[in-house]
Amino acid sequence: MVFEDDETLRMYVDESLEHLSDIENDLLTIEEGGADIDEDLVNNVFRAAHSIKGGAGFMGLVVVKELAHNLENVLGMVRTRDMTPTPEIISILLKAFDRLHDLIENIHGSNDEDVSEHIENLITVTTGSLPEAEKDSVSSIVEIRHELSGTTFLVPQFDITQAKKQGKYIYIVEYDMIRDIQRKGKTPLDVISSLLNSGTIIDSRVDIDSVGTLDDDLPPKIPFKILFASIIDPDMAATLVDAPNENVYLVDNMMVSDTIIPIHETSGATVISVPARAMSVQKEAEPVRVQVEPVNVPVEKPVKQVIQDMADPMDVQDTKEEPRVVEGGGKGSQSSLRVNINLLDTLMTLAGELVLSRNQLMQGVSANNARATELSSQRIDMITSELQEAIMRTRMQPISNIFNKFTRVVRDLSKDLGKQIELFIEGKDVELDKTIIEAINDPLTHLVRNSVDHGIESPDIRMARKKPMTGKIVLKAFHEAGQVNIEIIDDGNGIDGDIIAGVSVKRGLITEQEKSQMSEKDKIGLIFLPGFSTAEQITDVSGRGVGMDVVKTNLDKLGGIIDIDSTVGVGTTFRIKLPLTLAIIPSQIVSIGSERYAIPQVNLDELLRIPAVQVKERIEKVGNADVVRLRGNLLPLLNLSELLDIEKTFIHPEDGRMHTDKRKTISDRRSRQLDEDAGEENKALEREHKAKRAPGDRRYRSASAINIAVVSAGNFKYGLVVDKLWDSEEIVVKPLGRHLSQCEGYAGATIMGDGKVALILDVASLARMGNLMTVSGKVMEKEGVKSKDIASDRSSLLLFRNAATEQFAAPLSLVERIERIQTKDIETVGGKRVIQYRGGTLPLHELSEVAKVKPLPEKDQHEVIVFKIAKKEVGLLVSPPVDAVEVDLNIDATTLKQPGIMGSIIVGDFTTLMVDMFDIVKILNPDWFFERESLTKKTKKTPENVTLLFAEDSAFFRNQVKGFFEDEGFKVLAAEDGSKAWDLLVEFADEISGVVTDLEMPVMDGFELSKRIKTSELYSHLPVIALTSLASEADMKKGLKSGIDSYEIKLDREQLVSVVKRFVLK
Amino acid sequence: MSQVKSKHAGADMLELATFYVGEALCGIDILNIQEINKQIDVTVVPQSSDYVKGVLNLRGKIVSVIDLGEKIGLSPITAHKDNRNIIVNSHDEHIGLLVDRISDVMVADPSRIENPPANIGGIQGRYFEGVFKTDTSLIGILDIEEVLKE
Repeated sequence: MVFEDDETLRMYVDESLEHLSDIENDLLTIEEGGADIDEDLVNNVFRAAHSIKGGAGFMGLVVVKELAHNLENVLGMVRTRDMTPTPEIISILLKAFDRLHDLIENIHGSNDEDVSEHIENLITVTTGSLPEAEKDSVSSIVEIRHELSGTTFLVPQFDITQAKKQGKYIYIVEYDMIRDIQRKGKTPLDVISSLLNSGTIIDSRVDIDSVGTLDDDLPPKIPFKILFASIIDPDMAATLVDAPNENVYLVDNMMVSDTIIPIHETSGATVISVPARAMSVQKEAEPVRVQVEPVNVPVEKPVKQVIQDMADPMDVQDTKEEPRVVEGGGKGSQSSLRVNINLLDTLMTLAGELVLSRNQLMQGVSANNARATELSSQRIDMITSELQEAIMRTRMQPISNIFNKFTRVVRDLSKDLGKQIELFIEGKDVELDKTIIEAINDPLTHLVRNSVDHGIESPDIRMARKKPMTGKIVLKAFHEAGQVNIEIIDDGNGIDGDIIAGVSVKRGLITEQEKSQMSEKDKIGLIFLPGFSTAEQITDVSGRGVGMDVVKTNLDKLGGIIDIDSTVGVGTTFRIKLPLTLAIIPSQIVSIGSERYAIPQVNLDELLRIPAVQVKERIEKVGNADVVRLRGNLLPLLNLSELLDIEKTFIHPEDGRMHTDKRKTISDRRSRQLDEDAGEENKALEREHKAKRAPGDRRYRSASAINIAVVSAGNFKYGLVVDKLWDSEEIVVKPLGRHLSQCEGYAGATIMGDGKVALILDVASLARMGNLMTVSGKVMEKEGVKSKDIASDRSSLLLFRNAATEQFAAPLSLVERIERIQTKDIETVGGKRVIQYRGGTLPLHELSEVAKVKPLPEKDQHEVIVFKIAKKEVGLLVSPPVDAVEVDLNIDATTLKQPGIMGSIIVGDFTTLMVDMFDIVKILNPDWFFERESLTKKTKKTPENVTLLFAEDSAFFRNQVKGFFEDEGFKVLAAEDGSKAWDLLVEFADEISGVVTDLEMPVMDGFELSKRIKTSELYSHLPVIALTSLASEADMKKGLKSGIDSYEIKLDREQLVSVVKRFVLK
Repeated sequence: MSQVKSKHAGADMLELATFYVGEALCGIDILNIQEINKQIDVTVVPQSSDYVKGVLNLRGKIVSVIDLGEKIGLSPITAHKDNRNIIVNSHDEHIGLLVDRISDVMVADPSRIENPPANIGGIQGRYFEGVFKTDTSLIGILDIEEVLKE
């Protein structure tokens, strides 16, 4: 007879779930406390069980009542310190509460569930701690009969004894559902909870039988009877329980029949979870008045042993219950949400203001008052943003909702696995959108399990590794840059990239060759590939087919990013970045033709616009793929219009009309073919083609510049070529209909300001569609190899003019700033030109003072390039345009060399003179360098007795840098490549006190050379300084691994010399 | 049909919104129709099936627009100023059906609706719930769910 009132039942379920939500942590804290019992905490849990029991009786939920009741018994004993909460007992309690949670979630089917296992365990625990004489009381029920009201309760004797022991009176309180509850505007749950304030409810029941059938007259009353134990005096009772005096009966010993009815049929058999029907049958029948010996409970066993015995069946049950514990949060996505009342008030106010502003707007519009309309539209704009924010806040939930659960997960798992693990949780208050909270539950659980299972080692291994026995897992959440970061850090085993890569090769996920080209981080990243699991034996915990790939896919779906840092033997950090909310995301709007698309900002790294004139230099073709050079790295390109099969169009500058673009790929127009097969014939063709191009060719117009959105999907980057880049906008994500579900590449759609729909791009799927995911590593690596052969040193240069016809360049690394000054501000002091600048004086020079070049034209204002030489700033007056380019440094160091000019280079079809700033400063301000030289004299070693080994393949640099060192007085042995350098090193080992090497060289590169030096016994003491034109982070890392002591930029003479001195002359 | 009938238990008559797909006159129970509009300027979704014309914004909801002609195996709807979008509700989702032009609303006696033949004007019979004959024309009553199957 489950109570049919849906409203009441739902309230009960909601309330009970709320009671249960904190129990897990409370119990775990109680467990930690051990014998030192925190009464408040135990009371909390006890009250929760008790309220659930109270309500269940009223609702006719017999099974729930039974389970809650037994839980209450155990907790009651913990509270009275009759029992110490050992981990075993807590385990039983936790599992029983889990079950209770399940029952309540599926409340309608709860009466048919079998919970005997849990009840038995609980009873065993209870009896175990009872004095011998009382043991029977738990399993026996007594009948309480009140003749006057015709009430019979069948309750465990244990309850009565416990109540009496605590000096409580036992009452039967009879409420009339209609008169005492409904008419007073109360609900039955109110009554129950008010009773719970002053005592405990042993049993409760609605006496439906006395209501009669429909044929009878309207029932005079619906009695709701409660067996209530309280310390309240009998004369006070009626007032306190708020029931008519005549309906409160004190139960005296007379009423308690001495009849003992056993619950158990036979020893060890299941408990009869007296179903409702049976109850009523029993009630109708005469109470059995036969004394039966309770032979059921294994009283003779000490409790410890009982628990030991129970361990086995519990383990079995463990495996089948495990998934439920974990998925609980995921599947039970709540349909109702608690919202702070203040927030609701704010929303109300905002809604009110919105209405007011709308009225103003309507008035403004109808009165044709532009000013009023504008004002109100501004107001509406403001209110809308506020409203959006407030509504978002209602969806925000603290992450503790899922974090707290992990205490239990870690506890249970580590126990199963025999590990000692402590979980630290930080940032519980961080709030996330409800949907995200629900969606990250599974991935997070998987990661935590992974850390427990594969991360933390077993205690003996930890001992052997001299780590603390107890492993540590830190779960951390924090806000950063508008995103929520979650970190799962363990101090365990770490992930060995090589093993991962090895397994991947074995499973055919990557090739041996790819493996050899992968960085450590890439290798670790392989665990996200589908079909990967390193667990050597599949344990219950991980390796159920749900791999890291699922974690990644789930996070991808949320617009999240996952990243792993791991050091073998030290630990692993999983880093997850999540958007605060899914509903509104900042996005970059791009367009192809007339259609707009949105790229979520989380996926966007940067925007790149390659001017028409540079397309040729920067975009290249490898095989079928286009790549762009971006700060020394090659970035694969995907053409969005190709990918989505959109007809490419362009607006022809002459007629202004839309034309179909006939070019197949970006590189079709002007980029060099890196294809080695492209023989002479092609080149000849290309030349011819070039000649045909008129200067006004459409392809060179600014409109045909290439716009690239550099996006990252996970730890992989690529460039998406689009027609146009628009603004960044906050967009509202809307789902696409079912007829579009088969379209990959979209994460949804949004509505733009003009009311049209724009599709949201899913960059990860796009990469897959463009076959980038699988081959990316290959393409990039191959490209790297190829370009190494072709490209010599690339370097960033600053281009400028002196006279309008001559182009000059200087290494960008030497440039501090570029300023524009007024000619009238230049002062001539002591024969030198200076300008007041940032509170000091900046000496100004122009190239014609030193080199034989045309003089600077007279103008009102000048561009000044500020260099820093010998720790002093010096300005060089130049003419615009000033521009930065990245070029191959194919410097001709002879033809055009002169004072102040290193040589020449061809940039963009112009012969460009490379300016040697040191030379210029040396010629103009020779005294600047004296100071430095005198400084070096003070050190013990002087450059004169030091020999440097210098390896560099480019003749220009070899001479240039050799010159730097020789100017300082060093002796220099120069070699063309690493292998020649090694030979020299072996030959002149005694003299050489430092090695300076280029990184990219034929035969043996700088990495290899330094590795050799650092691993040899003879030479490992030698400092190795690497010279590079572009120091990428990856190179740095690689370099550090091979033992390189320092990285220096090739043409930064100042810095290079000082670093070499520091290393060599110490 | 029984379901449709029961909806009209009182009037016992079925109101059909009729429209042309190519030359074929089709009808839908008017109660299935959310609205009919002229919004035919849709956002194309590249890579979608041919019959998906695109998506449009219907007061904040993204609605997929389906070329009814293409979907039921006729030639695509030719662009014309009479083109209309019939917005129907299916599986909690609004979907637009692009048709050549709208015709009248007809009242049909359910008892006079006959089972569809295997083919009506080049359209497979499975797309129809039945046919309704008037004095001048033959209306194929579309089975929306069948038509909207992916």
